[in-house]
Amino acid sequence: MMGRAFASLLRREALLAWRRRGQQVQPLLFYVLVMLLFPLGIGPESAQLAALAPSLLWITALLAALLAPGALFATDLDEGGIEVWMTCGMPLSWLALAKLLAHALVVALPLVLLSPLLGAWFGLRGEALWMLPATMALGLPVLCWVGALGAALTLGLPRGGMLLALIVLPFYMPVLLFGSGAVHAALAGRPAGGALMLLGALACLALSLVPLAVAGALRASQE
Amino acid sequence: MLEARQLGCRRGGRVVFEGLSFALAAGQVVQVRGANGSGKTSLLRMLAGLAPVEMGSLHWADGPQPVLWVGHRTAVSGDLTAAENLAHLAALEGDNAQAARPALAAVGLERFAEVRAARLSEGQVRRVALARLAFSRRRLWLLDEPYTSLDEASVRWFEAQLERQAERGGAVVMATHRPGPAVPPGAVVSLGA
Repeated sequence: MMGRAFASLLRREALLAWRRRGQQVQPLLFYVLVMLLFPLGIGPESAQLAALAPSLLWITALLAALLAPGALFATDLDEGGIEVWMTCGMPLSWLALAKLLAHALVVALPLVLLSPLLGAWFGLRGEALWMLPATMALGLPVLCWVGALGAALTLGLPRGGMLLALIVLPFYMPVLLFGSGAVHAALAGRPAGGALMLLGALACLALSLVPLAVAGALRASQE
Repeated sequence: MLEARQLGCRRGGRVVFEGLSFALAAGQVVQVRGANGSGKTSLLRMLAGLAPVEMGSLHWADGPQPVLWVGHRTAVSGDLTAAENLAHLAALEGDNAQAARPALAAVGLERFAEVRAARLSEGQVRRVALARLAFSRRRLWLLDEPYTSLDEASVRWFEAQLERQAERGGAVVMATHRPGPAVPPGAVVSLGA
């Protein structure tokens, strides 16, 4: 029964993302457009651009992920969905986990898939080119989940957007450090396994703790 | 099934109601009445576990159980069709999602099953949410203003569901101004009287 509720919520979120795809592609469009601007600003042939590429690709992906969570729970609050999650007899953190997985799938996966293309275009080769999507596959879900927690905490607050950015940015820092650090290391021919493992550890930590915290924040939003 | 003792509600430092005691037995359909702002919704939210009980206490005969909650906000998503909405709500509440289609037909929304809820009228959206009553096995139903925007045929269907729930030993608590025929006299909780 818990499995069916979980699967149903996952399917609902995927379906809603597809129906609202005009809104869902915004982070992706932002990512591509901003990345297009860097060669214009720095100069397409410059060696600086290639050296900066891992940082630029990661910072822009981070900002794109920051765009996504704003309204994550707002419609569920307005429509009364959260009330049903709380009264339906399923653990709220279990339903929050379904919602978080769907959110990461919808927001992070397209960015991960797009990143090797942009990486190649910015001159990443060899190990650095596959290190970029690998770090993003581990790091972007963390950004999505921390962002979702921020969205749950600021739920119902007027002008919560700025507060949300302030809450989540400190938690974004380690992901950015290890993410772009690993790609830089691969670019310089140094081993990057350590940073990758730390990113994996952060992902495990976020996946296990954020659903509980989101459930608490959603409960508080009802009082 | 449930007993409330000296229940009270405070909002923003102001006492909305206090000293409210009542018992809810199986087979009862209880109507919560009171003027606007008298705390009907707050009382229902406390019974549903959506709001904390700050004054007084609630005692469940067999421990707290999940309830069927149909609030003022219907949990129907505008971007999903009527059938998708109802099947999802059924899956969340542990009911058979296959029951969604016949339930939609029962509330007269068969033709609208594939229409997105955003294009339905307010009354139709409420009927989608209330269609859960056709298959819900929850022992306690908590309904906040269930009659809002319902047409007469839907009201008759709704009251038949209330009777069915009472007959099979379930209970209903609903906030409404309308004295329905399914409400036996005496089963009324008055607030702010």
